[in-house]
Amino acid sequence: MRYIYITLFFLCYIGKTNAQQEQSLYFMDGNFYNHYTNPAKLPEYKAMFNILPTPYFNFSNTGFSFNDLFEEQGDSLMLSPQKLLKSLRKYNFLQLNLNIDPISFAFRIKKFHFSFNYAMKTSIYLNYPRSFFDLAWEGNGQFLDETVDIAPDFQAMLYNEFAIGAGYQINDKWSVGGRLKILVGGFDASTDRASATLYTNPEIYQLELATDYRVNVSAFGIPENIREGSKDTTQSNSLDFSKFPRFMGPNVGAAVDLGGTFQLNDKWRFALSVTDLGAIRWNTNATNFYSNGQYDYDGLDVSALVKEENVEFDVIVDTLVERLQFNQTQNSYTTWLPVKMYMGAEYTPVKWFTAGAMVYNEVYKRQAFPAFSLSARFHAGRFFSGGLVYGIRNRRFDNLGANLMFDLGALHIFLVSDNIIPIFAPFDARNTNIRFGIHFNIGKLKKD
Amino acid sequence: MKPLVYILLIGLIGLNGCKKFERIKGVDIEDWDPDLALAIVNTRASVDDVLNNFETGGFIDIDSTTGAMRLVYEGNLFSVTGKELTNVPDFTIPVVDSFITEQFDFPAGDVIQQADFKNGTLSYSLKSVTSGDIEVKLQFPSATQNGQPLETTVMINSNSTATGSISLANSSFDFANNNDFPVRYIAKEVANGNRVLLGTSSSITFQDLDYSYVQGYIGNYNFTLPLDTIVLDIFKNWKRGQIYFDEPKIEIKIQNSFGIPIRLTVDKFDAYTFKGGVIPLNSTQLTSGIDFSYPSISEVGKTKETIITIDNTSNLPNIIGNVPKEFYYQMSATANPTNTPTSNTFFLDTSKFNVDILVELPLYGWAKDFVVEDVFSLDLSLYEEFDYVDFKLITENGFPAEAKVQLYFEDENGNVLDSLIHKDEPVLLGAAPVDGNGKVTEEKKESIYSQFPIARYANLRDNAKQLRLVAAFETTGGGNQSVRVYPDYALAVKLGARGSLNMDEVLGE
Repeated sequence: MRYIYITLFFLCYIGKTNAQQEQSLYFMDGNFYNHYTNPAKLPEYKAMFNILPTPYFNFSNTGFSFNDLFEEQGDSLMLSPQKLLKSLRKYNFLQLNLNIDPISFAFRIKKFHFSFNYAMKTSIYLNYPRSFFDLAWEGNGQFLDETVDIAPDFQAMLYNEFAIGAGYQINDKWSVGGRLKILVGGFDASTDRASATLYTNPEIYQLELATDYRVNVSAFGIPENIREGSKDTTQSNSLDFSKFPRFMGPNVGAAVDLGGTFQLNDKWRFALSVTDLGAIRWNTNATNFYSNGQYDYDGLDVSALVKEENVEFDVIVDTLVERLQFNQTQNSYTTWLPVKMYMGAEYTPVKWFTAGAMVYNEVYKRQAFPAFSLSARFHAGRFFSGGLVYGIRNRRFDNLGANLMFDLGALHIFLVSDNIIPIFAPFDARNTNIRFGIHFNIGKLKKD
Repeated sequence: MKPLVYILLIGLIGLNGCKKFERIKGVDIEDWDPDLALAIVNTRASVDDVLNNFETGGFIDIDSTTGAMRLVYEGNLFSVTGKELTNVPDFTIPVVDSFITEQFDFPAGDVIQQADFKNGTLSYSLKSVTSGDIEVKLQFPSATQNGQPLETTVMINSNSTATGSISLANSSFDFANNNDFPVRYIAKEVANGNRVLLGTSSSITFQDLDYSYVQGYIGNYNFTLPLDTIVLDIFKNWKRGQIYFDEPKIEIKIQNSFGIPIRLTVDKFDAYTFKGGVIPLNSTQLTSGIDFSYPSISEVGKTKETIITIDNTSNLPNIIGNVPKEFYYQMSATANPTNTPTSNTFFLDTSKFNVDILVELPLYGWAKDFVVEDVFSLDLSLYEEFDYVDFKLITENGFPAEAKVQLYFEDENGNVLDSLIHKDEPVLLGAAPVDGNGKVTEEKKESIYSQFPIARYANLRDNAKQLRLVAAFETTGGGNQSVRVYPDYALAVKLGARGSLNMDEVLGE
């Protein structure tokens, strides 16, 4: 009964927990989805399949927490941009993922393991500079003779994933595996060039805006007038979601997961894997908005006053707006998935306890986001296993994850999160993730 | 029991969290006053830019060798064309004999030697008093057409009258003998070739004669030239002070294609000045009128130029010193002013003469406390959300003249509210340094800051409707030394503004 209470306890706090990207899941041997982190981690059952769609939610924001955004004013909370600015770093990273696995199953034939899954995935990455908010809040007068980066870099993607996996137990020590994934894009909005800077000349405050900024968008259901760059505001500007591809579509890509494990002896095991190595090619309904150049505003030439003509000073705003030109094209483009690398070691001194360590790296748009985690996992008989995972990620040291798995015969219920500290301090939370599910495991394999 | 306590405890924490969301009331932007800095004005004007932008005919002329500049104001007068000088009336000659001579009816006093016609008609009415058909050859001994003798042959039936006409296009009539014009006819019977006489009612008429060339003496002819004005808008904003141009001059240029002596008389040439009122231009070159050049009889179709220069030997320097705003002049011209008839004068129907008046001010001189003033409309309502504004003015003076400049903010009635630069004191923009030849070696740069804190700026924002510029110029050496201005001299004015934008006002809170 107490296990149910604990399960409910975690469920009440969905969205408030901090989490790292699938780090606790990495240490959950026996869990169906464990092989998502390394396809060489072969399941211990002859067959496994999920009963209900398995959701996964992840949110991470290095820039600020709830408390960094609001300020107490008596009984009220007021959104405080000034407080927000104090918490932001030079560059801040926001990540949001929502995946649903409606169908997933796996089976083992002797030394081979095969798997299939279909998942709907939403992936949002945003890299936003503090200087953008500084500029808006403080004004450019505080940045004389400085070049201010004002361009966010982002990728927002919705796609279907059809994955076929295979693993092979080479011998007692080595296993290898891989997954081939067919990706079908439904929506994308992303930057592949993200540079925009503003320089204010200290002489008389002339402005130099330099851009090399391109936003690519591909979506079914974009209104025709928007795609063609029409300024007609009488037509609808809303996305028509009914036109989104249900399963297959014309924007296709592929990705692979590769991995291997090495069982040194009864106690030590090492593993290495790379996942989501792939991309989607957006050929259809692709629109590109591109600005490239340097736009200078040096002040108005008032020599017309000599001719006693009028000089309109309010054209300054119009002049500045005109200088920033976005060109529009319809060219295909490619987006790469964030590649993830796992390198871990596990030590099982006794059968009911396994300690582990893992170095993780996620590469997004040529930026690396490393993490490190330590795990302690306990097996309480055959019915329950659980563990704690301590992680260091994005220069934060306050990540403590937990994983629970209930083995009720063929029915397995699991819950995993990479950070449970926000349960106690939700408004200081900057990370949260959770995955839970129920699957059937049939035919447990005996260990040699 | 224990798990239940834990869940309740954590539930309370969560409940508090939900309550926290309910306390969110809005966005606190009370302290949102971004500091915005923006360039307002960035202008670089060379002498050429400034002086060449006048709309009243002034232009800059640069000597390609020395680079010396002069400001030129131009006025133009035009005469009538030669077509208006005289006219050849329709003329009828009664053919009473086989050879007659009649005088062409030119205007009184005109003695014409030759006239070429581009158009015209010769009509005839010839009566036969002979029974039998006759052939009549009409001859005009002193006329040609297309280089050939002008004549025509007419057939007349027995006892009838023949009428007809011939074109006189491209004909030339010689009137060398006192405007006389002879006509001869030879009439013969067709049947036997006997010569006969025509009826005395026969006649020849010259009509619609349109000349292209006239040689001879047309007597006095008075050309009426329109009144004209030359506006010197370089001085239009003068308020006070002295300015002196070394070597000013007025050129009267006459282009003439009449082959006739013509005298130009300056009936009036006055300067309207700011300081001295109306000052007539006095020059010995104008006293007796100007007899300008004309092409000779061997130069038909050519144009001759006459240039009269009025310089420092006249009272022109005095006029310039009194800051003229315009010259007002009226002239007239008389052909054959001495009334001396001559046979070697001519004119074409296209002949004319032009008179150009050029007032030249070489940009070489001095100025002392030369004050100009101008007013510009101003609307600061666009910037009403600013709490305060600081101005930064940078000038780069490439002229060998210093300027004391002030900008006054005024209300709609012209009352001074404030000034842009150092309250109540104009700012001094230093003169650019010069070398031994008086040529500027580098620009003189000045930076001026002017702060308008909240209350001071609010007064301008709410009340200022116009901006008055007052500038006092003085050339090097306290205005006692002449300087020359070259085309590359320029003045740059840069103005930036930095202020605090009240976002409460912008967002309407």
